[in-house]
Amino acid sequence: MAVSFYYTIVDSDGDPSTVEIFFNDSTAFAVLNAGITAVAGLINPMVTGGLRTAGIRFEVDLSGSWGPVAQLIADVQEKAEFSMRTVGGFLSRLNLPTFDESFFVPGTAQVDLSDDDVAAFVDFLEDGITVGGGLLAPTDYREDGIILVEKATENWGKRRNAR
Amino acid sequence: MPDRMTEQQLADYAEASLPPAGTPILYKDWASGLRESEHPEALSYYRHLKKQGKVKATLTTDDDGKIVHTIERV
Repeated sequence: MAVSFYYTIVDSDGDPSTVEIFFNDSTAFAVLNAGITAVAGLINPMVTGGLRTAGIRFEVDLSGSWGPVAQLIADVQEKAEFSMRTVGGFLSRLNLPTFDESFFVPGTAQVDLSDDDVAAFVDFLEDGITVGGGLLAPTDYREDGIILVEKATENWGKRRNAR
Repeated sequence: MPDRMTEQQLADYAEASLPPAGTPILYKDWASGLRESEHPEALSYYRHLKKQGKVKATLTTDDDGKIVHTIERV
């Protein structure tokens, strides 16, 4: 079974949505332990929600760098969907909730892939990040390596906690 | 007013703005330079260059845990 990071993001109403990113389960724990903070640093600039919890099947306190208080504009329904292709040719999708609208190309539903923060995140998805002395490379839930982010677009989603 | 360029010219312009192979540059510095150039629209061809294997990206963290995102001409 693939190892995953999870980040539970909340909007200004306290509604949560969880981001999960999978890795090969042979990845060294030291790399995973250093990597979860690094990957939070890639996601945080692009979203307006607060971080409730994060972990590798256990919680990690990242409140020093990403606190639990969401910006007033945060909304878990406002998502950006990153569509990715894996080594095996499978399509994989990753949604970031409370996505900051300033990262969309004006007048479109397309995420600006040239933006500094977005480009760093996309390159991380495709090439991984070196932390803790090792390479942390995302996969899909089959542990199939991601080789290309095909597109990233606006995706209005549903609240899990209906009101 | 800069001359209107074709897509290939813009891709070539972006590629030409990269330092020589073996000289990594922070993505944000390279992007900032292009945004301030005569053809800021060339920045959107970064991913085109990457798909063609003309540029590679490296992500690491510094001693403070901050993300370091560099690119390098291949």
